[in-house]
This record gives sequence, C-alpha cells and structure tokens, in this order.
Amino acid sequence: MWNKWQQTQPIATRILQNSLAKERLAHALLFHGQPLAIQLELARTVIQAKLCRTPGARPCGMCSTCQRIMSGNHPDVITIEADGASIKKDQIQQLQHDLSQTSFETDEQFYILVAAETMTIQAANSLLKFLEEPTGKQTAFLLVSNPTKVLPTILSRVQILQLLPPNQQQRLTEMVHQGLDEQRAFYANVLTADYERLYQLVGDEEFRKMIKDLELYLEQLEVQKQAPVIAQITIEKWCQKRQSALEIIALLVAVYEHAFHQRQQPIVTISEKIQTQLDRQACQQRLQQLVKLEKNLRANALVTLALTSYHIALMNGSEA
Amino acid sequence: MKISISRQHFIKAISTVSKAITSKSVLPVLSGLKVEVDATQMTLTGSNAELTIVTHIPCIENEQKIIDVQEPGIVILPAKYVLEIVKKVQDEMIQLEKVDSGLIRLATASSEFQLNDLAVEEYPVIQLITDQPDFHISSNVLKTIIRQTLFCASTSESRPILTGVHFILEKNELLAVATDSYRLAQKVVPLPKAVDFSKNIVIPAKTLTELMKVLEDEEKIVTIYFGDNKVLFTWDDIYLQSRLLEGSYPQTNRLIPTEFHTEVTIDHSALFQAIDRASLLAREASNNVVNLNISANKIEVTSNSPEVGQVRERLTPANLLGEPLRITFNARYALEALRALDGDAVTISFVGELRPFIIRSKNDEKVTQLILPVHTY
Repeated sequence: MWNKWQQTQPIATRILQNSLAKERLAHALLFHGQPLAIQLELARTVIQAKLCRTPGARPCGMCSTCQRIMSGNHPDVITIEADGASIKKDQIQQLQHDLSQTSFETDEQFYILVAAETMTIQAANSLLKFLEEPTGKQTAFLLVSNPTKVLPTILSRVQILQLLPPNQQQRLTEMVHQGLDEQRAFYANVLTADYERLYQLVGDEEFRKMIKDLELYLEQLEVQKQAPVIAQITIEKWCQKRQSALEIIALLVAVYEHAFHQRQQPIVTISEKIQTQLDRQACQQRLQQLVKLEKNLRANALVTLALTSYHIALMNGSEA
Repeated sequence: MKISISRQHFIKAISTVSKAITSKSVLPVLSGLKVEVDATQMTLTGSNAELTIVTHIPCIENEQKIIDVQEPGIVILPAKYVLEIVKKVQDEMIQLEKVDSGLIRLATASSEFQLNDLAVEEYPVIQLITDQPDFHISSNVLKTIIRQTLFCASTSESRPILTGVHFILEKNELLAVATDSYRLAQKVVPLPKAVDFSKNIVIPAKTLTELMKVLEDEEKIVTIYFGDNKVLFTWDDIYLQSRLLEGSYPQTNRLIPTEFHTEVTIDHSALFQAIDRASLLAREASNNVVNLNISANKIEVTSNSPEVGQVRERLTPANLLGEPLRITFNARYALEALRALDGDAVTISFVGELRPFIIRSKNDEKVTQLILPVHTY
C-alpha cells in the first residue's frame, strides 16, 4: 500500500511511516498541497496502517478492516464532509457526540475533516475544544486545500504535512482521466497550480469564452494571415486589466511553445493549425516577442500600448 | 443461503433488531440488517454504530421446525423495507434465498421480492462482550432504575459525560446517578447476591431509552455484562450492546447533603398538583420558577409573573420540622422529580435558601432527587 505513496510523496510517506513505526503518530495531522480526494486516500491509508491486523507489511489493503476503512464503512473512522458550502457547527457537535463514546470495534477512534478550511467560525471553535483535550484515544486528520484559511489556533495544534504538488503533465493526464475536456484542461493548467481553482476554471463560462476568443485570434493571425493589428481587436477586450493581459500572454506562450516543440499531446487543435502554418523559427520569434511584451507589462507599461507594439513588431517581423 | 422460515418468528425478531437501526446512519451498510444462518439457528443483527441488538431464532423450537435450512449463509437485508414486507405478505412460511448476482429473493407462495444485497464484507465486526464480568437483575427493577434517574441526564453536549447515567457496581449494591448539573437523581439498589468485582461505567441516555422500549412488560431476569468500553444487556434470546461514554464522571456523593435545617413531609399528589398549578403562569413568562414558603405551620407555593399575574397555593403539611424557609426553584425540575417518586407521601429536606434540597419518597429511601434552587433578586 505504501509503495504508491513512496513514489509520489516520498517525504510525507517517510514522516508518516517513521511515526507509525515508533508509535508516535501526532494526535492531529493536517494535509495540504494535493487534491482532497488524494489527501483522503492518504489519511485512510494511515488509519489502515494503524488498524490492520494482518501480519507482514501494514496495511495489507486486502483484509476486511482495510477495505472497510477505504470504503468509508468502518465504524471507528468518522469522515466529515462539507454540508453544502461549509462544515457546519452541528456537524462538529455530532462528531463530538460520537467521539464522547467509547469506540465501537477497535480501541481507538479516527476522524477525517474533508476541506477543513470550510468550517464556519462556530464549527472551528467547537472543534478546538476537543482537538485540544481528546477524551480517549483519538486521531484527527484535517484535509485542506488552502492552509492559510484555517484558524491559526487550529494550525498551532496540528502537525502540518505539506504534500508535493503533482507535476503538470501528470496532472493533465489525471484531469483528462476524470473526464474533463482535454483542451480546456490544457489552458486551465497553464493558469493555476491550485486544484480547486483548476476545476472551477474548466467549468467556468467566462473562461470558455476567453479561450474561444483566444483561439479565434490565433486563427485570424496565423491561419487567415490577417494584419496583426486587426487580429488584436479580437483579443483586446480580454486584456483590459494588467492581470488578465498577463494571463492571456501565459496562454499564448503555452500555445506557441506547444507548436514550437511540435507536440501532439495533449491535443490542442489551434496549435496543430499553427504547426502547419509557421516554422519553428517563426514560433520562436513569437515567443521572444511575447517575453518582451510580458516584461513591458510587468514594468507597468500601458496595456493597450504594449499590446499594439507587440503586434506591430509581429508585422515587421513577418515582413522582414 | 437458502432457507424457509416461519413468518411469525421472523417478524418478531426483525422488529426487535430494527429498533437499533436508524435511517440516517453514519455508515451506509448499517442501514441494513444482518441475517446469519447456520445449521442450528438464525442470528439477526441490527446496529447504528452506537447501539447493537442481536437476537436468535432457533431452527427447532418445542420440537417444531421454525427454520428449514437448505443452505447456510449470511445476507444483509435493507432494514427499511424488509419489516414492512414480512408484515404484509400473507403466507405462513417465507423463503429467503441469495441469488448469485447480489440479489436476495424473498418469497412466499404468492409474492416474490427481489432485494438488492448490501455488501456483507462491509458490515462491522461486532463482538458481544459475554466474557466480561456479569450480574443479574430483574427487568422490572432495571426499568424502575432507568425511569427514576434517566430524566436527569443532560441533553446538552457541552459536557458529553453528563448525557449518560452513571452506574456504580460494588459488592452487593448497584448505584445509578444522573445529573445535568442543575438537578440530580440517585438510586441505590441492593443486589440479592454480592458480586466479586467492582466497576463503574457511564451508559448513554439514548441506549437506556432504547432499552426501555425493547424490554417487554413481562418480568425477566436480565444479565448485564460490564465491559471496559461496552455494556451488554441480555435476556431470553435478545442481546443489546452499547458503547459507553468516555471520561470520568464527576464525584456526586459529596453533593447530597446529610444534615438539614428544615424537613417537610407532605402528600405526594397534593404537592404535585399545587406546583403544577403554580407553574401555569410561570411557564411562559419567566424561567418556570415558583416559590415555596414554609412558615410555622403552613406551606405556600407561589409564583409571580408580572406580565400575567400571580398565583398562591396553600398546602397543609403532614409533618414539619425545623426553621421557616423561603426557596425558589424551577417547577419543571420539581414536577419531574416528583413524577419519578412512588408512594403517597414525600419528604423534602432543606439546608438553606441557596443550598440544594432533596426530595425522597417517605417509604422508599433508596431514591434521592436533588434540585438546585434558583437565585432570585
């Protein structure tokens, strides 16, 4: 069971395995840095390691105890997920009620708070009471996507374990695996490393429109060979603010890079079209100009002005 | 699994164990009812992760065949539907069969149900703690203990330990105490036979409420097993096991005063009705607070709710000892305490205006009801 984690999360795995071996697992652990589903799996693996009674390497992952922990059917492992947008106070009170009783099957109890940062203030305060003074043998797992949103009084009472973020390529494959649109996932992946935002972006209508305009712009510019300053109009409305202009640049860089390396995977239609139109040198020239544009924007150049000068440079470049 | 079973026996067993099953269980699999059949008996288990009820149906009873086992096995039936089904089908015998594809076939001569099987391997392992020290008690005595103490248990989760009843077993005495920190009920039961162990546990109020429901009116001898983190009640073929409350119960023996300044003996129902009437006005307006004025030879129960009005009830005590006194308390607490006491007359003993007072039945000293007065300005 640990093999998989040793590969993806070598540091966290070593910390957890050592504290399990020395029987010194912290009474409360906070995970962050990976999507909640993966954190949940890791938390359940740790609990399996504590409760599995099969001789040999623990957990075995095969016995009834291990399977029931993984499927969320073990009576001594309580998993709490947000009820709607947040974890509410009465959920924490119910948890407190469950924990005030002796365990059901084993002699210890575990609880997992999924998306613990969504706890309301009242819920967090109720949690603090028994996080501090557990009545019996209890271990808490707080799974969090953004640790800065957790109350400092809670953070100071838990052992924080940062998990390694997954690399981009791996993440993309994973997203496609989960049935997300490959092209949109590719673009979203450029803009954020945060999982929650990633999924949010892929489903976002505004983002979809932006991508559509971006692709139209590239089509006009590179395939239909329209004058760069004319094509610029298509993209201009997405560049009103400096921040969004920088995002557009990041996306353009990603597409040209994709075309430059003549990648086939992931499938990005517009990049394939560009590949037929532009040679590598032309791509490289675009990339150089884009880097210059980004530098100008970061140096507080006027957005529209910088954008126009970029397109004029493109015009001159193609003439040259 | 493939069996046929007498419907009457099946209904009785299912309705017993379904009392432990709640519809919104923490574990999905616990919405099911576990049925296990071997060559000699059928074992039914229902649980809500706090409370578990197990019962058995023997295959042969009084030389009559109740279950015909063609193939032993285990299935988990959806509890919500199965009781309704067996109640409503007509024939005397019910066939129960596990079909290969995760379906259970429940059929009589005329009806046939196909039910989805819940995963047997997901069902928690429930170990009955029959290896723990035990003692016996009459079901009527047990019910009385629960009736006289349970209502005092706290309903607030702010101190979880107080949501249960504290049972202390020592030598030849069983002591049950419940308190919500405003009032307290204590019952002492002498045991016919001394036990050779001592133990104290806190049983959740919910478990005792369920136990009251499952215990039949007919008097039975109940065996109680006191484990370290579980308690098991068993009689006939029924086993009811529960988790305990964790933590140490507050020391309550020091709370009950032993020396009193004023003692009143009074008719039980007269006092109950007087307080009940006096609280009529107080119920809505304030905190349901009534006053008790004790002077040389009379007792008055009064209540004053400025928005509604006033009430004055006169009582004649059967016996009055000690100094005059005026005390204020919550009428609901007093009524509930009186309801839990049997007998025609009660004795109320006071230490002072701001000190807790106790109510006991005149002919049963084993039950003590203690109430804290309300501080008024």
